[in-house]
Amino acid sequence: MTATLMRNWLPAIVILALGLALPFLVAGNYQLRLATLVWIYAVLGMGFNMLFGFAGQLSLGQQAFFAIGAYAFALAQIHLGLSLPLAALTGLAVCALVSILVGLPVLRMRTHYLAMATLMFAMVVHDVALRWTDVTGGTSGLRVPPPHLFGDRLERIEVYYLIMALATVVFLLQVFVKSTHLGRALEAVKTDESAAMSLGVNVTYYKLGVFVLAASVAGVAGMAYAMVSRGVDPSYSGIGMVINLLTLAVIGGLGTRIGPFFGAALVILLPQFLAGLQEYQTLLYGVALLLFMIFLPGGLAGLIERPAMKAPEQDTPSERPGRLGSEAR
Amino acid sequence: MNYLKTLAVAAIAATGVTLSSASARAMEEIVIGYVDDLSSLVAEAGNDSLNGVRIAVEEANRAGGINGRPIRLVTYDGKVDPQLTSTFVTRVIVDDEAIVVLGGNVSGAVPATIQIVTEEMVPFFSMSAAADEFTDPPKPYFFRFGPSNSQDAVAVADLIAASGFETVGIINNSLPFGLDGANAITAALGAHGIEVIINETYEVNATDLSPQVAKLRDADPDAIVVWPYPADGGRVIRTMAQLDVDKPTVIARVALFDTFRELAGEAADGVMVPNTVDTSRADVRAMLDVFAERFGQRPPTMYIAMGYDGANAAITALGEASVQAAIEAGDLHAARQALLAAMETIGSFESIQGAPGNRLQFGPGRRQGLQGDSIFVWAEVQDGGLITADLEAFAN
Amino acid sequence: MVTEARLDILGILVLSGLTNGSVYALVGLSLALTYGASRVINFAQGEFVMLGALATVLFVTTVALPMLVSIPLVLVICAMVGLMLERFAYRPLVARNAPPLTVMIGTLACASIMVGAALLVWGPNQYFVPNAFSLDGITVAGITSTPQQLAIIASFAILMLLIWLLLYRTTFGLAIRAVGIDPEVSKLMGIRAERVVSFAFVFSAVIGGLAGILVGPLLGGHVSMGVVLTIKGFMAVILGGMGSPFAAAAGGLAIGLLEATVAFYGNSLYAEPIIFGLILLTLIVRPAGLLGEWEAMRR
Repeated sequence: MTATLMRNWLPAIVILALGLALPFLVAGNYQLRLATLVWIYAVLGMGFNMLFGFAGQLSLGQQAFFAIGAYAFALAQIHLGLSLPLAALTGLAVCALVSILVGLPVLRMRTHYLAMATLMFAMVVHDVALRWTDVTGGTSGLRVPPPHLFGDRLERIEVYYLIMALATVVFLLQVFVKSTHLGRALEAVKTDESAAMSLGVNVTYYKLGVFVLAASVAGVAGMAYAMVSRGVDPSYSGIGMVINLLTLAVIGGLGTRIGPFFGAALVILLPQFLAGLQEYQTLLYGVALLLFMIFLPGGLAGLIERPAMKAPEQDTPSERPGRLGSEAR
Repeated sequence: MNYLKTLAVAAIAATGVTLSSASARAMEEIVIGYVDDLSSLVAEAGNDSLNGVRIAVEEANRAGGINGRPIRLVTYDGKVDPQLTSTFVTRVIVDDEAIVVLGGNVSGAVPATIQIVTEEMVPFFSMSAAADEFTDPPKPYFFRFGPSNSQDAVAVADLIAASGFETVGIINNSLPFGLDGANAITAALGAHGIEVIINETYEVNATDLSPQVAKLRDADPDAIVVWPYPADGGRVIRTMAQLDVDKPTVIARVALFDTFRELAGEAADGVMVPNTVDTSRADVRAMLDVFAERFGQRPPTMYIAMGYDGANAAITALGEASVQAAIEAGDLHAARQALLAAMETIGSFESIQGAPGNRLQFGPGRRQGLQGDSIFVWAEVQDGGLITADLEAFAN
Repeated sequence: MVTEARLDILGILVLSGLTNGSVYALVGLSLALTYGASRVINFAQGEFVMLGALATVLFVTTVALPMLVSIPLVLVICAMVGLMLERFAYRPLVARNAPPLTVMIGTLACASIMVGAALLVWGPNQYFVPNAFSLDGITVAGITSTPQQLAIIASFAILMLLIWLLLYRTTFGLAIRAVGIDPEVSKLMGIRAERVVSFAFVFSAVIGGLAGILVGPLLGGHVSMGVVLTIKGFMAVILGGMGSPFAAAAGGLAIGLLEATVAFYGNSLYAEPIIFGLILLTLIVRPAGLLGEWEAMRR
């Protein structure tokens, strides 16, 4: 019993302990910035993880909610003069509302069609952010006031701990979703929707629920990012963001609880390690990712954690790539 | 066993973050940072500017550095990604201990960069990112060495007004460069009472642009302004020729790149391009000869000139006694502050942009180096090359 | 504002829509071919267009070979890279039972490798890609076009015919279709499915290279031109339906024609988001693509 408990929680505890100690280990704002970015990307990754890893709904539109949260957060502070917590709540509410409106029609779709529909939504968001200069500030975006909490301006290190705390809350939320009846319902939805329906699972309700949850979590990440960058611009909902998110999810380990942390660390740190290689960095980044995927198909987290739920399936077993694989060599 | 693996992964991650931590040391060399797009969409401009910086730095180092200390140029490729760019700006400031950072050909990445350099209190010399709000209101640590959008736009509007045209059509791509440019030009033309009767936008990767050009043709303006990237600019000009749109045409600075002129072919003959590089100046030609020897033949783009101007301004300011004293004492922060102050006290810097004798002017509340109406020279495309523009012929 | 539909405008819009649409369709149908054989969306597909365009620069401009010699060389290079993608990325991933999304992100890593390698060869500047056909305007029946533009549409049409002949008139085509419908059963029937997969990757790579040769002179060649084309191709596949290369091609043409129409009659500033929105709406109304169910019935 204790052993299982240890096994389940130890990796997370180690990560958290490391996170707490990090500001004392690192020298200077550069490393602190990287560490902060890792937590933010981890939050973004956990949102995707809940949606795809747990419920099998492939969305390529998480970056839209990342941006919507950040824009709402910025606008609430600039135009409504709201304080940080109230602006954050506004951002959350806007994300939730938009995700309900978008989720209701698009969640009838599955697999690649759902992926495409969400990607189209994200591209509309990106294009409008770029063009609607009066509201979004166009290319340059909006500036976010320095973060204040209870009247005090937050130091960078306090922002770091605030974001780390958010990541911890989202992590616990993820564990909660996965280990309660919610997780089992979502897994049923992922495995076979019709079967889930016949077992009395309200498929539409659960799909929409996890979609809204994931969108809100992406919004949290976006707001945290806006707080660190002290601004928001159209690149928040750009293609680069979703490419990073997918890479993070896959390299970290799909459907695992701590995968997003590893994936985020890799996506943020690898380009920094490769920076010295100048014109070789794009090539070697690709090579490194490919090798990771080939040699760790379960992701980095797969080294220490078996995905409690098996890898996401497509419509039918024969829809998997690799169904030819055993003989194709 | 699994715990050990966890710890190993965690340890790797931790060393990854701490590995490159820097410690204070006596300054044996002077570090200048350069962070820009060196491999993606804006890389042609980014590399031109970087190479311009290199020429200036190499000249200074050949002359013995600054008070005997060599300058070391540290470069990072931020692509067109604001997050990556601002992380590299932080890195070059914190880890590489750059006294001043250059870069900024990517408009989208500049706001995030301004945030970083303001917080870290390090002067940033920006190249072609042109949005007016970057320098108006002025940001203490942000200096621009290229023209701003409104300067570009005013030059275009002045030319069109002087040529006696009353209606204008604008066609631009949907990238930030095109959208911002079109807005600024519409405003500048408005100030002359010239009406933009049609403004068409297209996606930079569209193979065929004839629907937009057909609308432009049907609106029948007196003159046309094109605000594209190099290759799509070539397509616009070609399509205009195909659809018999024979109007006086002004095109953005990207037409200085060879790609545009090769793609547009003969159709580009007579198109006007604003440039800040006046190749009739002997000092400009000398610099471009050095450049060609070092990096191969390039068209005389303003990006090269901005980089060269920016690096030379930095080198001049680094040579100030106050900056040198701080460098001597190994006090990085003081050196940056002294350089910031020196930019204002020196105020006026040599420039290879604009008309002969044009100087960059900085001061308290002035962060836009190019000023006045002598910063642009008009180039004209002819037979696939660039010649000095015949403004009279353009008006007729 | 133009209120009446004039004939020449109609001609311009149709021609423009077909040109842009053919490009999307070429990328889309190659995505669909690969998907049919391997159930993988190849996110490196647009990079083959980049490779085709830049390799043309290499052979025609740098090495100064005649165009007729260069074209086969470009296509051979694309085929080789396509084969490498299948051998060194797709197969190892599949052999290790990587989940579908991982295989797709694997192709994304390949896209990064291709861009990185191209960067070493060609550097980051934009190139003028030599044209196989004339870029000078010709006017037929009041509609102006260029031979290069017409060649794009013609090549696309010929390619569609060839693919139809291959799929429906050859034994190998039967194998491809069988694998597309049910790989397990087709394997039991003695079809060497892995050959079909290799063929799909190589053939798609060649189509990508061909598209690069054709659109390069109009788009210009740049190492990072692939991503957007992949997305446009992906849009074509999804809009048409993933059922077959023909549905994907139809989707591509539809997007091209839609773009031209919206750009001309609508607001060209908001044309892009409007088109994304329209595709989103189409998917909401027909969740398996325009021709998805039709294709399913047909086979």
